[in-house]
Formats: sequence, C-alpha cells, structure tokens
Amino acid sequence: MKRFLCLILAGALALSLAACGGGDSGSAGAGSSGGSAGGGAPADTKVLYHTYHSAPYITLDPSTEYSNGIMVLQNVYETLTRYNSETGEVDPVLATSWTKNDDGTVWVFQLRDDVTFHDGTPMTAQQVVSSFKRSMDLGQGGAYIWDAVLESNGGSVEATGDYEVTITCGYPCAIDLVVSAGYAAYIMSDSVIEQTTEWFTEGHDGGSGPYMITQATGDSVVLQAYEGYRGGWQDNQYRNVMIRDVPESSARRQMMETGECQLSSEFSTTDLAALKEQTDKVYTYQADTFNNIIMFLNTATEPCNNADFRRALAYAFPYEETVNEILNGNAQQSVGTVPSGLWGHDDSVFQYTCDLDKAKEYLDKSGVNTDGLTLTVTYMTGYDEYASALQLYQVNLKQLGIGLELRSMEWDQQWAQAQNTAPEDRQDMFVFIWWPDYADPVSWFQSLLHSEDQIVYNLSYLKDPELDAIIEDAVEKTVTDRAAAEADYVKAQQMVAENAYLLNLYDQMHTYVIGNSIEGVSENPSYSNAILYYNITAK
Amino acid sequence: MNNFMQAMRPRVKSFQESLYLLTRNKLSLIALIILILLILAAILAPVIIPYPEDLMDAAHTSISLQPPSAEHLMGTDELGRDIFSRVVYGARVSLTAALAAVGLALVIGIPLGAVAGSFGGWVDNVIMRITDVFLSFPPLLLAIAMVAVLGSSLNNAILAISLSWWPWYTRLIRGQAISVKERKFVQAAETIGTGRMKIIFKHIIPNCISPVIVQASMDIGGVILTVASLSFLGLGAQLPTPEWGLMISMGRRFFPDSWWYCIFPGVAIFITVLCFNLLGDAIREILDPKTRKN
Repeated sequence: MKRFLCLILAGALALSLAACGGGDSGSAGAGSSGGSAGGGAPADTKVLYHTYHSAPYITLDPSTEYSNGIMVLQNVYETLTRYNSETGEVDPVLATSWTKNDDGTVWVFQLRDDVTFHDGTPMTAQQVVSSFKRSMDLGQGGAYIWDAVLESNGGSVEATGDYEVTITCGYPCAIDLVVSAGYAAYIMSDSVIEQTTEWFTEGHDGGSGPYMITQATGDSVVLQAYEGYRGGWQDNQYRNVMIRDVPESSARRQMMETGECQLSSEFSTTDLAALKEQTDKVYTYQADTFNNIIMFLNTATEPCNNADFRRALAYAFPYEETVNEILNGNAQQSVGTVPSGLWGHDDSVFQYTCDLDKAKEYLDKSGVNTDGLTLTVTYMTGYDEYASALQLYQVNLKQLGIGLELRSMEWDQQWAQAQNTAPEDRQDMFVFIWWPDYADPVSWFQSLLHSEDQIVYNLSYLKDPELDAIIEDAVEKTVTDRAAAEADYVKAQQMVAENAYLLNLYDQMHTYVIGNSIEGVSENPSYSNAILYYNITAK
Repeated sequence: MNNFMQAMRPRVKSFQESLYLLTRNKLSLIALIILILLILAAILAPVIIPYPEDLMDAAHTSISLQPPSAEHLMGTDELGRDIFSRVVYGARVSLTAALAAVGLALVIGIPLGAVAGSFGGWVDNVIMRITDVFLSFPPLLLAIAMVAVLGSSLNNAILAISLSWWPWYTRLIRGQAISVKERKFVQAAETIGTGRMKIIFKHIIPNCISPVIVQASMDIGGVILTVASLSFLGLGAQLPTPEWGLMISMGRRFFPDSWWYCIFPGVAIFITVLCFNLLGDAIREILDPKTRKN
C-alpha cells in the first residue's frame, strides 16, 4: 500500500512539474523584458545556438557594460547610427538623418517615428535624451565617449521636437560616430531608465532591437524575438537564440561536429584545421577585426624607461613566428597602432620585425646592465595563445641575457597590479587585447596613450606632452578636417613605434565556424564579437 | 632511570620488519618500486632526459605537435619541445612541491596539535577553534583563495597548500597526544621533573607520530593533485616550468588531435598519485596491526 501511495505521489509530482514546465515554455522565462506588449510565445521553436569561449557578458546594463556584453546588447538595443565598415560611412539606424554646424559643435538628429520598445511604448526624442543622460550620469564603462557633451565641458543634449534631438558639444566632436558606439550609446525605454545595473543583469531589458532577453544566468543568455519589431519576422529567421559560454575549444568543436550548436569561434589552431575539413557539416567565415593585441612597456620605471632598451625589447619579439606558427595565420602582424581597415591606419608606419642582432645593438646602446635582470610580463589566465607567444619571446630574450617571468593572472588581479600606486610594484610588461568603443582611432590614443592623472588604461604610464598635443589636435579635427586628423594619427603612431611606448603585436582575425544549416553570419569590426542574429536565416 | 624509561616506551617496529611487511603485499611492492624509480628519475632528470634544453629555454616551432616517435617518445608540444623530457623533469617539480607542502604542513601542524593535546584547557580551545575555521573550507578552495591573494607562483601554491593542510595534522596529533599524555612513561617523565615542552617534543610527539606518517604519506598523492590543479588553473607553476598540471592546461586546446600533449602528463599524475595512495595504505597496515589483513 505504501509503495502504491508513493507511486501516486511521484506521478502527481511529475505531472505538476510537467504542467509548470509547459506554462513556462510560453512565457518570458526567468527574466522578463521591460513590458509584455511584444512578448508572448513565438510559434517558431527553432533555436539558434551560439557557443562562445568566455562569459557572454559581465553586466547587461546598456549604459555601463564595457565587455563581452556587446554581443547581447547589439541584438537587444539600437543606436542612432551604425558604422559601416565597408563604406567607412555612418549609416542611420534610429536616426533618419542629421546635420551639424561648421565647427562640429552642434548636431541635430531627426529620429524614426515607427520605433517601439519591448514594453510597447513608442520611441520619442525624450527617451533618446534620457538614455544618453543615463550613460553620462553613471559615468562607467564607455561613458567617456560623451566627454564633449558633458555639462561641465559646456555641452548639452536636448529634445528639440518629438522626433528631434540636438546635441551641443563643448568642443568639436564627431557625434555621428559617438552615437554609433557599441558601448554607452544605446537607446532604452523610459520605463527602465531608473533601474539598476543589477536589475538589467538579472535578465531584464528595455530596448527596441529585434530580440528581448528572457534569461541570463551568467554563463548563458537566452534571447527571444520581439514580435513588434519594425522589420518584421520571416519564417526562416531564428526567433530564439541561446548564447552559451563553453570555454574548451575541443568541447565547442564537438558541438559543431554533432550539430548541437550552429555558430562558434575562437578555436584552437588544430581544432579549426580539423573543422575546416568537415565541409559536409560546417563552413568558415573569417572576419577582419579592429582587435589588436598590445604589449605595454612600463615607461615609468627602470629599465623600460630607457627608450633604447624598449627598442631592444621590440626587436626581440617573435612577430612572424607568433602569427604563422602559434596562430596558424589567423592574425596579421600589426602595422601601427590603428588596425588595418580603420581610418587613420597607414601601412607606411614603422613597424618592428624580429631581429635579434638589432635588439643586441639597441641593448648595448641602452647601457642597461642585464646581469640578473628578469622582467615580468602579465597576461590574462586562459589566453593560451599569449602564453605560447610569450614563451617564444622568453627564448629570444634569453639570448640577449634578459630573463622573462611569465605571470598568468585573472583580469582583475592583472589590472589591479597595473594600477598599483607604487610604480615599482607594477609589471614591466602587460599584454592585453583592445578594441574600439566606436570606429575612431581616438579609442586607442585617448584611452591608452594620453597622459592620465589616475591610471586606467594608460598602462605604459606614458606622459608625453608632445604626443598629448597631437592627440588633442586630432580629436578636434576629426569632425572639421578628417584628413588633418588622419595625418595627426599617423604622426602619433610613428612616435609610438619609434619610441616603443608599447608594442603592437598582432591584429586579430575572427574565424567563425558556421553550421551548414544557416547563413547570413557577418561581423562588423566596429562591434567586435557581436553577431546580428536577425540577419541569420535557416537555409 | 634511562632503562626504566626505555622499558616503559611502546614497542617500535624495526626497519627490516617494516620493510618485510611492506614488500609482502604485491601491490604495495609495485607501488614502492615505481615510486623509487620516480624519485630516481626526479633526481637524475637533468642527466637522463634526451632534450634538457627543452625544459626552459628552447622552442622549435617547425616540429610542433609531433606525435610520439623514436625521436620524441611522447611527442612534442606546440612549441616543438620534447614532452618526454618535460614529463620526466615534471616528476622533480611535482614531488618537490608535494614534499615541501606536506613537510611545511607537518612542521606547523604537529607541534600545535601536540601542544593542544598536552596542555588542554584554553590553549587547546584556542588552537582547535583556529583549526576549525581552517577546516570549514575545502582545502582546494582555501588554497585558491590564498594564491589569489599571494599571487600566482609555485612557491605561493606550496605555501597556500601547507596553510590549508596543517589543521588535519593538528587535529590528528591532538587526539593521539591526549591519549599518550596519560601513559606511564609520560607520567614518569613528569614525576622526575622533566620540562613540559621537553616531554612534548621528546616523549609525546614521537609516540603520536605513526598515524601522522600514514596520513602524510597518503596526502602526498592528494597534494600532487592539488598542485597540479592550481597550476592547471594558472595559479601554481608558471610557464615554461614543466609542471604536469600546467602541461595538461596548455595541451587541452589541442586534445582531440594531439592527445599525447595531455595524456602523458595525465598518466604521470595518475600513476604517482595511485602509488602514493597504495604505499600509504601499506604503511597504515604496518603501523596499525588492527587493519592488517593477514
């Protein structure tokens, strides 16, 4: 009898769980969007499964997220404009057109009148103003892009009509580029303006993009179609998308081979080579990026404060071997600081090659005593390509009589050490990846090379008034005289290379492995890692 | 009086008798032989490995990820370095790290446990509450937290493991000390006015040490695993040190096609840990007649 009762109870429990599950499948899931007007269960249950090698976000706050979250935010939120990497122009998105005055200090944007947010409310100029002000007020992540618009700098942002926004800058600024940024420039509904970063990160949103966030667990995000999206939905589009962190390259490879996921990237060289051969299952797409791998040299302390010593270090790095042997050709050696494909890049900028004779020559010239000299280089744990390249570098430096201690660290730890108030406790070299906040060389020069009172990303600890002046001039001329700005940036890159303030190691390429069942995958280098799922269709 | 003290002490097995008991069990004999070979390999590593330059300061990218062959018995890694040379040398790194970590944990744990058990009262209370705090964290988690604070390096990993491991020995020896301090030879020593610390170090600790030796010998395997885990996570040995866990970490991205990169360091860890565990079991049987099978 007891056994019979247990069976009944188990059955009832199973039924109730099934009922709960059924109910949930049609709802918004763990999180919910700002409203429900566009919600409801989509009829289509196809899921696009995208595996990523790292967590897909740090936060999901459209104003403050400054990392991988761009891959989610680009699908959930929209910006006024979008940089077109093929034409080098800025295309309209939520704006229809814009004008500026002669010196680029006053910009007037006309907005679309057919945009609705996920909570069903229509987009007006007021919400654009609130969104920009939220980013400026919070002042985190990529908020520095609004510097020219800050009230303290004489700027303002105002709604000058129902569908017209006027942005006034304290100094000339390319606002059409600023509002195209992948960080801190997203437009959101007024209903979520007051919400906290934690609220967004729990899996809520207030965007107007084609997808809504329905679940966010830290290592995965589930997106669902916003049925009210102005572009409409076709049957062959994916209304459900799951982005998941699968750190191991071999695990992602298996998932691609079995068809468990349709889209992935960042494979090891051997996994990528093996996948490329499986043309019956997958195909590859190689996207140029604006991502470059940089090695900062600590110019504030000995021995890297010696320019000739830095040049010796620059000549000792195995650039070609890294690109060809470690990365198997999935990258290209950087020429200058601004990556190929972005305005301001110039192939004639001086670049180092691996030449140990020249390295020895500069080392002798520097007068640095290498007896017992060991430099420390920090890099992020998990970035094994850096580790392999740095071991090659270690071998080369050994030939110069210089020891190199490799320290893999978590990002927070690595960055905290780099920001240590005691310069002698910082690393000698710091390796990391950088990509722009928007398609403008200023993202490298202002953030990485301009003098800073408080160290943020100027991890060469550089204070060069001449370079600062060139950067400031370039920023001002970007909007009024693009050619002059480009000339400034080329000059600045030449200075950086000649003085070896930092080493531009290589420009990354993203090789996506795509299941044969889908098409339409493309990556805009200005929005690194972001794939617009709305453009992907089933074959 | 010395004769009296000697007579009062418990009987300690002779080395020959212990060795006989150890070799009587085939499994423990095999484990012992393998461990002796490993220790010899660790000591002689720089002499016996075919490519000593591949340990630290060499790279040959033209022969990267070569499968096992007569030239490279365990293949090569992504920088073309001989994996056999690095695995053999890895024995030195792992064994040294494990012995250092366990040794340091014993140095901290044994005196504290003996003092706690012998003194009792508030001294015992303070020491044991501190051990309780340490024991409330899983050792690996505590070690990870400590390395995160101290910084990633093999030395810091050894220190962190020792600091997370000593409470186990303290607790073990305290229990023994409470029992041993009631024994007649201790009371005899007290009667003749021997100092308390002298009693602890000359009489109590030597007579409490057996279970600790068993525990420590069994722990070496676990510590090797922990060192490898920390290195795998990037928190222990740093490149290019040929540490087994670090080698597996670097090799895992090539695993499906270049299996030898992960498998051989993995097998080295497996065999070493297994042998230490078997040896630990055997030592326990020798020192504790109650657990002896025959």
